[in-house]
Amino acid sequence: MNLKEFNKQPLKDFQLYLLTVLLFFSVLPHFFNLSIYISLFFTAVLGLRIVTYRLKLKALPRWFIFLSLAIGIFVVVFLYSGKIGKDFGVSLLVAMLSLKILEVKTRRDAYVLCFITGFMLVTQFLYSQEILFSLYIFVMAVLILGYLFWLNQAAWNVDSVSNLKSIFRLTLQALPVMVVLFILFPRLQGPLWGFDQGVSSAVTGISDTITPGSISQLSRSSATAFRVKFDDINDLPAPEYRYWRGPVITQTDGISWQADKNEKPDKISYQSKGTPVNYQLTIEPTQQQWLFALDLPSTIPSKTFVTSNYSVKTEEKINKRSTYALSSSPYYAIKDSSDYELLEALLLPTNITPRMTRFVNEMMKDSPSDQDYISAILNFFNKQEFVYTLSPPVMLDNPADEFLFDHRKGFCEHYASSFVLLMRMADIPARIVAGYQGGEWNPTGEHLIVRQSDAHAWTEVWLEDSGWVRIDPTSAVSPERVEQSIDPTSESSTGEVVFKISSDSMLGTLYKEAAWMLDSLDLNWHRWVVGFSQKRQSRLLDSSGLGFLKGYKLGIAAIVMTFVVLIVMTLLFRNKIKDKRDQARVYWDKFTRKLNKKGIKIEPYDGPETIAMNAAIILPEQKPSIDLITRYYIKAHYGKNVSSKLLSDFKKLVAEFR
Amino acid sequence: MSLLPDLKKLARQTQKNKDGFYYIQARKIYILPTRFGLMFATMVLAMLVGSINYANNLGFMLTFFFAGIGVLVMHYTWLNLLNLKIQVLQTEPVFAGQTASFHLIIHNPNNRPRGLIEASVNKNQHACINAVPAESHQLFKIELPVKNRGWYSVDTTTIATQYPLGLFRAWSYLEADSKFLVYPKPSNQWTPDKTPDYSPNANGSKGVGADDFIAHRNYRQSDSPRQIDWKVFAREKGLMTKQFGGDRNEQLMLNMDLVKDLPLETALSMLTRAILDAETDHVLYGLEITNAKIAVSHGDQHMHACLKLLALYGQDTG
Repeated sequence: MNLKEFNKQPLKDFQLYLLTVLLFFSVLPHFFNLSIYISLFFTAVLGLRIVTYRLKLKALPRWFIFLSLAIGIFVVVFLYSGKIGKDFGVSLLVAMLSLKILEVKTRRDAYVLCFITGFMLVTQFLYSQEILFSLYIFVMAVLILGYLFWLNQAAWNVDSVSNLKSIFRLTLQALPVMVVLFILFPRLQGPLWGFDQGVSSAVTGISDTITPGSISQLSRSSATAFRVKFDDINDLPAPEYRYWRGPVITQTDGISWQADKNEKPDKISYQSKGTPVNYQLTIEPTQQQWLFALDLPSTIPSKTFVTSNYSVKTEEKINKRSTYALSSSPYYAIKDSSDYELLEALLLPTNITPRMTRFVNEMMKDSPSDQDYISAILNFFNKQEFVYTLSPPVMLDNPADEFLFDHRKGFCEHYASSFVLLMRMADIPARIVAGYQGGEWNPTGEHLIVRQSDAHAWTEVWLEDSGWVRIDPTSAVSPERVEQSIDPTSESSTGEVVFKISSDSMLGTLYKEAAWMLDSLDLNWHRWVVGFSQKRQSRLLDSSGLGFLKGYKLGIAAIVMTFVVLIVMTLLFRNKIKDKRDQARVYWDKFTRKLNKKGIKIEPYDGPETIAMNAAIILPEQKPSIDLITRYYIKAHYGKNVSSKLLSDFKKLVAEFR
Repeated sequence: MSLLPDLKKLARQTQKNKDGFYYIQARKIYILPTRFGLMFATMVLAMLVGSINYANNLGFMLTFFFAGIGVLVMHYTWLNLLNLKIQVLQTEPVFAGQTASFHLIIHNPNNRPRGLIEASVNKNQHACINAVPAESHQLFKIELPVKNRGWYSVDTTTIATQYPLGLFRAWSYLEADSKFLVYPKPSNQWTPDKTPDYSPNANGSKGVGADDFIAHRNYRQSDSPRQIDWKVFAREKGLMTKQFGGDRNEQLMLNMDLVKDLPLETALSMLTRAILDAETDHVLYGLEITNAKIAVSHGDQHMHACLKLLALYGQDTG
């Protein structure tokens, strides 16, 4: 049998089973990305293969495979009709893959299947690049390589541990190559062709519309919304200044609130007090354009803009985790506003009830100025029995009225929306600002974690002499909200909000630190791996004095460095001679080679004494030294407790032998 | 295809060392990707294009990981041949139409085991694959069907491997330096044109033979139990061994005249059969063709000498 015939050998049963299992686990994560029909098709075909094999049925007929292929393609085309994108491509790939396994017979087929699976693994990263997920995909890749390695063994023996060790070694050697190429491989800006570039689906976050309950719903999620790393830790604003500004919401129909159109304005201006703080904001995908800058943004990154009411928006929807460099002034004053804006901020919905009007009139009677009126309303929220709760009663018909007079239980959106209405009824322009408030400080990664549970709604009112002023009615009811974060995991039975308080218990601290570490790992994973861009590459090269490597030079450097690393790795993993006995054997071989040159015939089965005897016949005058070397070798190779001295003497003797 | 042998001569070949071994050295090893290797490269390239397009950094990572594996595997495939020591054993003569067993011993002097190695001749047509354990050796047996009588020169031997992943094929040529004899194919029956001379042998009945019973002698150790006269033993007259003889009574001199009417190859086949028959029948025989004569004798060596003469009949002895 030659190697060609070896490659054509049919697969053994367990080789096929193993291949099927590997294939299944490689495709598995796609079950969550693709249509259920694709997953069903794939599983069905795989099951069919196993069944036909178990029952020792003959190979499936050609027409059956073609029919299945037709069905597979039909399903894919039907599901993604007209939408040729990554989902379509990946679905097609999965369908093909499952059919390939129907006709797999020989080692050669197994190879083809493994290579398609390898390519399939890379498509998994189009859907997620999370740290653990990536690890899973890499493990699958190594297992597939291990499988190919197994296919190349003489016999499929049970000595699989040593096989695994070999492939593990190969992996360890390939990893540095991977890192070098990853850092040095020249990155292009922009895609080669324009399929949908989406990476992961959005986590629901703050949206353009606020309805009663929309934010309290968010608050139940401890998912991370974004993370903020301040260039200077001392710039970290106090908790009561950590307002992350999202959409500004002015229009209402009395039940839900709608964000303004927020087109790119001609110019904007405001006065900032103090120096702006610089920070990097890493936001999770939202499928929206809002970037939650610290109130109020002063400089913004490229491909973003500031709306006329100071929210930052990206030009494209945020469909993958991205990092933006921003600066903000936490202390500011907005003194400019267009008349139209102010007019809009006074519009009232049609469902204002008489008791609301009566209440406003009463409050206004006691308040000489706008300031006094605002204080009076906040006082009302504070003094009356208002409850800050995650699960307020359902208020569908007239949320503001029901909230103010009937239930008095609500979350920030209830307070903000009814507060704005009360302001507008008193001819004070007012609007809602949605966003996030607060954030958890991660001391390990030295950054702020802002979660969905930090979602918040507050208000801005227009005062003649101070402009738009931020007022948070929620803080009137529950001042803790602004100073501490909500703990979304523990909610009291009555629905009252539980705040996070620092736990002093040993376990609590440990848990917290572990969580911080994971969070920090996640952020760094994103900074250095997932978000590694051309910009970051050139910055990294500059900082390490390799800034001159640009374009093709970088490509050459990548190739050269790859080979340098390869050489280092192969030298590092060379089989070392561990045993002194083996070392003695090396010197002895040197000696026999010398004898060989002098014409002494040495058979592979000759022992040292036979060799010495034969040598002494041909070289009688060198008999003493030959005998001495042989005695040393026998001692060093077969004796107990071989000393290094003995070994070095032996080496010297061999070297001196002429 | 006819170009290939010439190319092989141009190629670097490993020469036999003075000690009779072939040592595979770094400069004598060739390496090229296999069909699987090309497929693998295509996969990596497709992954790279995809990763660039989607600016997917994890995609880049996996691509570069596979690329690293590819280059490493090239190195290990090459390493799997390096420093092997090969001993070519003398091939036993065979009859035309039979299969010769060409034996190689591959020694692995290093303390790392060698994965599957293929030893082949005749453009991989005839091959054997085996692994060689660390600091050990392994016998490789290549079956060679032979058609024509005479010397058979073994083609350049190729030592190849695709270990560990089958992505690359590394190989090395061993300079051809081995030949063996192919005897003429024996014909089915010895039917000479004229009856050969069977001359009686003077001391025929004194030798140790197998045909006719001659006498008893006392049992000696190592006598075959088949030759013990058990009937004598049953009569309680002790162990006696039966002696046979009489089979050397005839001498047979073979020559081309006996088969002169037949075509040459058939004639040689006929004589081959005669020699084989004479050897098994314990007939003393000799061979006389053209200018060579082998005196009447008997035994293995004699038989091979006669067969060799027939094998090389009309050919340059080499």
